[in-house]
Amino acid sequence: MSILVLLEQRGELRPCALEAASAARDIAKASGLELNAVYIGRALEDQAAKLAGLGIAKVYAYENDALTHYSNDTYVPIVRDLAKELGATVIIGSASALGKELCASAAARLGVELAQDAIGLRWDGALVATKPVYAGKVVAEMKITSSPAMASLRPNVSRIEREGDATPEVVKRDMPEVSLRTVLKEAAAATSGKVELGEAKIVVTGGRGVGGPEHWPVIENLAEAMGAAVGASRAVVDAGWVPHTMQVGQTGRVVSPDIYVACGVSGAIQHQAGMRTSKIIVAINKDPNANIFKICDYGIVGDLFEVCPMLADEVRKARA
Amino acid sequence: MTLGGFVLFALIVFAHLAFILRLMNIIQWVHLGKGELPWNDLPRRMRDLAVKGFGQRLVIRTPAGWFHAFIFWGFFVLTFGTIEGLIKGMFFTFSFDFLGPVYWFMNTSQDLFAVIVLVALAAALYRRFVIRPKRLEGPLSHQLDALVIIGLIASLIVAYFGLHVVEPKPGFTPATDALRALFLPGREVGEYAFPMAHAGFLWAHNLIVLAFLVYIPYSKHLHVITALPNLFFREERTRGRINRLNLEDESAESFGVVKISDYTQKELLDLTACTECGRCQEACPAYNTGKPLSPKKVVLDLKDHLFEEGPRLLRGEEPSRSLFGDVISADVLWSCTTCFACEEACPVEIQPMSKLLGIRQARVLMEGDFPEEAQNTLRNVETQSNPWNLPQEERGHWAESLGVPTLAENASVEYLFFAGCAGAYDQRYVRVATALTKLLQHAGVSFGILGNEECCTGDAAKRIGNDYLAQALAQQNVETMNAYGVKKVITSCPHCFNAIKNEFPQYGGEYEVIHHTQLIADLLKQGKIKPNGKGTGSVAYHDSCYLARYNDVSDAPRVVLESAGVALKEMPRNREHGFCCGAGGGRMWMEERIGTQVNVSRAQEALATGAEIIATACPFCLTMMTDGVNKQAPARPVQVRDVAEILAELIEA
Repeated sequence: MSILVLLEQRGELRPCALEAASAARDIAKASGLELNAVYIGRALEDQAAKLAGLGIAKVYAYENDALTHYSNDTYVPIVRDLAKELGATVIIGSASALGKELCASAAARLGVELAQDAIGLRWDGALVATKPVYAGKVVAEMKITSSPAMASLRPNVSRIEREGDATPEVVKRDMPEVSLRTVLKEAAAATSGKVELGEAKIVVTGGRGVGGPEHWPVIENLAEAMGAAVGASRAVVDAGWVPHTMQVGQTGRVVSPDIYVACGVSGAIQHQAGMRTSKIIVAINKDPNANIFKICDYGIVGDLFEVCPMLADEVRKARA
Repeated sequence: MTLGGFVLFALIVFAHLAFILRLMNIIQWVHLGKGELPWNDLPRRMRDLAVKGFGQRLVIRTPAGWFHAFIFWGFFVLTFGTIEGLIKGMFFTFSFDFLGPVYWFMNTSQDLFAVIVLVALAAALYRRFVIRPKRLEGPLSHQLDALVIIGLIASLIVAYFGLHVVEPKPGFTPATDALRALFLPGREVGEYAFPMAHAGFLWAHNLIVLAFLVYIPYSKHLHVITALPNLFFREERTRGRINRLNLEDESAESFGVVKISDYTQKELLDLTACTECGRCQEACPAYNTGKPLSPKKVVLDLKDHLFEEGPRLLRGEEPSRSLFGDVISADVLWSCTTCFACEEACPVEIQPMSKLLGIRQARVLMEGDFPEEAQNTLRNVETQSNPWNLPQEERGHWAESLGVPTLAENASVEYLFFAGCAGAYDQRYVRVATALTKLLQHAGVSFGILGNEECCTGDAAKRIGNDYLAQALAQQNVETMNAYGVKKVITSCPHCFNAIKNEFPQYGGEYEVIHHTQLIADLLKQGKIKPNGKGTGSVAYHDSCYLARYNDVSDAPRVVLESAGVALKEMPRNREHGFCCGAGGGRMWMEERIGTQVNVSRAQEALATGAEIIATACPFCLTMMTDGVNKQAPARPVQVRDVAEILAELIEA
């Protein structure tokens, strides 16, 4: 009779793992069940400190460098066997891309119910998960009656709250040999600048106003100064200056960074569809009538070849 | 009957058996389709047959079609001699002599048409092998096929002349007489004067006729048999309406066209009627910009697939090749802009575009398989009822400062102005909706909008193949509009126009739908709008497919532009023969990675007129033409504007 939380890592413990643990601790308190965690990956070592104050009694650590990268083959049996060994009645994971797969596979192997991608969890004699359905039009509450009851928690929707600073006891489980049917040799992702477009907190985008591929470094320079990912409007991608993976808009990526800087982008509605939900929108454009100025928070009417380098310099100075 | 007569008789029986057996096969394959060939509405069908079939109405829309028409008519005239020849081959003394003046008339017309057909054949040869228009291109087998057919008909005429040179018939036959004077000057003629020659020509004539009979159903000349029935069985349809699928049918195992037998019998008959003339291909925006889609090839590939799989399907087996993937590739399927140019161009009313739509429906509804860039759009339309995922509750914001009532505020207005997603959200097109609003207010038109209660009409979803989503949207709009008792609807988007006018009646929404260019033209005529005529510069008007080709609206925008006082310049391809901007059929929401871009091609055509303004009457066209012009960075400034914007500037308050 206990709760098991699945701690996701990609080399390091991820924030979503701590969110899941924090939510699981609340369930543990409400239900009076003991909270344990499972960790699979490279040696846990100093990372255990990150788990302080999350009410975890024991962390079962399956450590092996070969397990740094997620593998369905090895992860799923570990979770299944440990859940059975501990007699877990509740299992909570993260609804990240990997977590969704792990939870779904584990639920299938255990033959139990799973509330995937929940936005909230509570205890009401059984695990109750809140999750949006019908494309977010309705929020459903689902009581999970199987044992164990499983849920995966959507990342970035709940906070990590710590109570005290007690660290869990680490129970090392031997993983001397790991035989993987598939081995990750290399992760080849098309990168835009140094920061991945979809996850970037700041995005700098260039449009037709850049004029030609030879001027593109102006955009890259600003992005580098701001620690931002580089995006492009459709016109730029169509012209072949940059690959389609960098396209922001209706038929490209939909991004939602904290700061979005649009340089020489007219802001046609197809472009807006890809960036409108950004928290702060900064527009730099020569044409005061450009549509982008209708949706931006800060607008600079000016030549991007003057404004961008100046801005980059100021940002570098401020950061230094 | 002589020995020769018996041999000929046997050959006639054999040829007819071969012909009938093949035809029976084809009929069986056509019957693999769903539904039945319709026999209702006979007067219309007979009229179609007479006008479009025997009258060759659609064929003679192009100059080359006249040659076909004369070969076609010649075929009927010469059939008289063909029959006489066959009977005479068996019973040596036979002649239609006893018909008297009719016989005289038939011989006269045969002499005339033999010459006409020969000339037409020579023209056909010259065109196919010397001029070589792109639309006639095809694999070697198609070219040989054409050569065999032209050769057979020509030899038939030669044998005809030979026969009649040797044996004069009553009638006015100047061509035959001239040949006789040339080859047999001053000689006594008659079938007994040159028995060998006479028998030779007669045999040649008969053997060619029989060879033709056997060859027809295996060749592209199959259309000789199938084209007329295809015109006869044509379903009268509303252009621009894609019939709603019955998604409630719980016994349905699939939706859309998964395999060839999912087409209707009429659609399969379509495939057999193709003459390979390539007019569809010549008009196709995808083909003309280097995409792998050619409507002609789609039809022929489907036909080959039907004929290949037909026997297997009749035995109840599964087809050996899959329709999607093996026969129609994804790149072909998704290149179509649903511009309707192929169906408009076909002389025998074949519907290539509709065939592709059926496959799209199956891909989307059964497999969830469509270009991934379109996913954003479909999801957005589903959740927020507009392609850009902008909040539904902001749909009415555009009109807030314009003093336009919503129907919720005042439902007694005469017209509903259906702003559409672009009119409501796209800042560029909001300027058009605003200009239009001001024109209507100026003219004192009583109108209101739905505001936040308006939804996307589902046009793009429908044409991408998501019939489910399109039906839901249409249903929702019709319920809202009917609740307010809407009678008349103004639209600025031709895609909304088409959906509301032609598709909403299927959901119980019957309205009088009018495009803004039509309404403005009416108001001009009534004198309610008086432009100062100070418009300057030259304007090239780009026709929207969904207005001009689908709905026959091509005069109104021109009337409006003329009233503005600008100089109207026509592009070579205009009105119902206009060239698509590339955005229809959901293409607006996909990337165009193959070949040149359709909008660039069309913008080039528009720029070549030398016009200073490119006028459109559609938000999709406006966006595509603007992008197309920008991509070319023309030396002189060129504006792309809506017709309504141009006129609104010329109204003095």
